[in-house]
Amino acid sequence: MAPKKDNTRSVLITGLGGQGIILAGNIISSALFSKGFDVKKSEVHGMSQRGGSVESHIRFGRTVYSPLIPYGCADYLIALDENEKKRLHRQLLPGGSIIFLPSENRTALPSPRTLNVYLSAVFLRRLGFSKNDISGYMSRIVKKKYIDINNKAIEAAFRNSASF
Amino acid sequence: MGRELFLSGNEACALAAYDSGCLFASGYPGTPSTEILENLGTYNSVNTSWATNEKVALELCIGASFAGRRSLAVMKHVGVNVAADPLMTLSYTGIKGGLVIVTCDDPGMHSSQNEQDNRHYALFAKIPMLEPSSSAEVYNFLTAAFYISEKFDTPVLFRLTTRICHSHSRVFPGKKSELPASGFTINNQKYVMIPAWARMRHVFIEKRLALLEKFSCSSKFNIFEKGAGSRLIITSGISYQYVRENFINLPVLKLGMTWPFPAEKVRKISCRFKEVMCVEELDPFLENACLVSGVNNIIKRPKNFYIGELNPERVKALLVNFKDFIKPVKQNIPAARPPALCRGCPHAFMFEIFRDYGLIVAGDIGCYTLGTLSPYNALHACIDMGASIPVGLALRAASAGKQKNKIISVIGDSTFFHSGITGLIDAVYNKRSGLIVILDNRSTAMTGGQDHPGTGKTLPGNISVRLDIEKIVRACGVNRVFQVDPFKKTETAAVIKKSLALKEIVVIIATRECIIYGPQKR
Ligand SMILES: Cc1ncc(C[n+]2csc(CCOP(=O)(O)OP(=O)(O)O)c2C)c(N)n1
Repeated sequence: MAPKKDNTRSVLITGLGGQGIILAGNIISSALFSKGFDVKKSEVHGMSQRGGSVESHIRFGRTVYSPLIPYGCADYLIALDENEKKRLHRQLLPGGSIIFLPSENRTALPSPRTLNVYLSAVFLRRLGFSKNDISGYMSRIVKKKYIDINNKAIEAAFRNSASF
Repeated sequence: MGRELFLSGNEACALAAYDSGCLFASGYPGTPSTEILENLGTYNSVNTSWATNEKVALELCIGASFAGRRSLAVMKHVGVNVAADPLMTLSYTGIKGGLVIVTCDDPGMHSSQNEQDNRHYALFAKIPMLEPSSSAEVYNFLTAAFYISEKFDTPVLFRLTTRICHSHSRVFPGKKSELPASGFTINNQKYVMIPAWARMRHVFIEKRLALLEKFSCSSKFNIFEKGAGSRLIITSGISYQYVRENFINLPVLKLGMTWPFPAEKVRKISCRFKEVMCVEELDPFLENACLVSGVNNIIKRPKNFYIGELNPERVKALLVNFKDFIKPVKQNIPAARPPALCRGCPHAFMFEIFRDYGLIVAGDIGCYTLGTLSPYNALHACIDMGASIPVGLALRAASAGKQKNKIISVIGDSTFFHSGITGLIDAVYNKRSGLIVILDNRSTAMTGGQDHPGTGKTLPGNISVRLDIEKIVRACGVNRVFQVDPFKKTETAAVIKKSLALKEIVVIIATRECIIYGPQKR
């Protein structure tokens, strides 16, 4: 029973209902999908939309099996909420990275509602995606009237994420 | 290379139905099934509707099928209970145009009142069942399901689970087929189930099952993947992915068509191994089928595994230690935030009144079920859609003393249309007494704001008749009907207070549109 030797990587996005976790998951997964990865993304809609905790699991690699990240195996934790970050910290692999913006630093955002797009951009930038690419994935997913403000959030991510 | 898309199971299901030439689809919203019809509704050529409830949805699909149209009935697991009456006899009549019933089960109860395992419906109704394990399989299997339905003259149960419905993965769509409608052919012995003809159809059903079993044994849905070791894993659906996530080299018999059970094939493969284990979510469905099929080297899962959703770590623990996985307890970890009524939700104003009056509330299913949680703690029973009216009124009738006049029924607008009206008619006819509050937020909010007969719009977004709840209530024979606005709390509270002790049926309609999904918001 040899355990799977594969290079599947796992991204866990977490926050509260209303923060746009699902949208962040859509931007990130569509970006990875366009680069030719096998991608699986999983989240649960329903009760979770009523302000409760929301998680989106994204896995990418050559062949991905489970859409759920095995316990304690997240390579990245993207947290939109402080409490959720603490709660899900144990899902992170030793040496995994956390992508989070403390409330006091959120003044850099064009609006608090864009935190999801901002953090998605920070993450995708780390994987080598360009500003233009990220803006393209975002524009295909968010409502037209919100494209401009989210482009500003992406700009901010490219200005600031060096400090992470 | 062909087209490649990144779709949720639900999106793949809608696309596959469209590509299969399905032109009629109906259902009632319910997590995790809702997005299937929402997606199908974007194709103008498909007649897609939110039916008043799941029974009506299936009956509509039966009519379309009898006219030779491929049709799709979509519902969550508990919806099949509502549709079970037509389902059981549809198995007898069979179909004309392919008919597939999609059941979206919710292991782990992410947003459901129970976690019933609807695979039993395939066995119960004696119809074939397919269980895809990824979006790509949802697409391919659904296309095949229409073919099976037509080839074997049977409805097909298409069983998805939350993890399949709501996970995105790659899909490689095929070509779209265009099918002409063949029209209805009169054939009373097939379509009229009076006892004499139903008896003949039962004979047909048993023959059909035998043929389907043969088909299943040789079909490409059920594949044996060779591996190392003396233990064979039999699995289906999402459980397959969890097995493979952990162990790439184990021998696995992956079942995509789980009913009728491919007994012969399973027996033949199983006897080559020392032991066999079924990895499945919820009930021991495959396990029992193996036992009945004479597979006698089965090791049964510990009973813990009958409960809740599987995940990679539970499957690993099962296969390595024959134990369940328990999350390690760690100090100082915040709890997951539970869902709550939105700030400014009209339901919240009503539940404050119920709480402040110390009422006992027979509730129903919808956002307002959250009235049972803090800070309201003001909903005290909740069973199934529509239950609030009969349960509340009988609770009141069977209670004594002071408690009696504190008991009320509370139901949402979509739920009222779904199955509240029958309870109301019973109440008037049988001269029951008590207060029924209808929370009319002009939306099916819990499941994401779908339209219903009271919103004046249909699933594809067309303007329609808006049914007036008050007129319906009055037509059911209720004389005391009050309209209130939840935002006018003092007035509303006064109306509730004076209605509590009346010795007849009183209906209060509390109208205020949902702050997220109300008609003005969309
Ligand atoms: C038989 C059945 N079908 C569907 C569902 C899913 N479901 C739960 S609540 C709900 C809608 C409730 O709408 P409404 O009564 O208007 O209340 P609201 O959420 O708008 O407050 C639905 C469709 C269910 N639980 N049972």
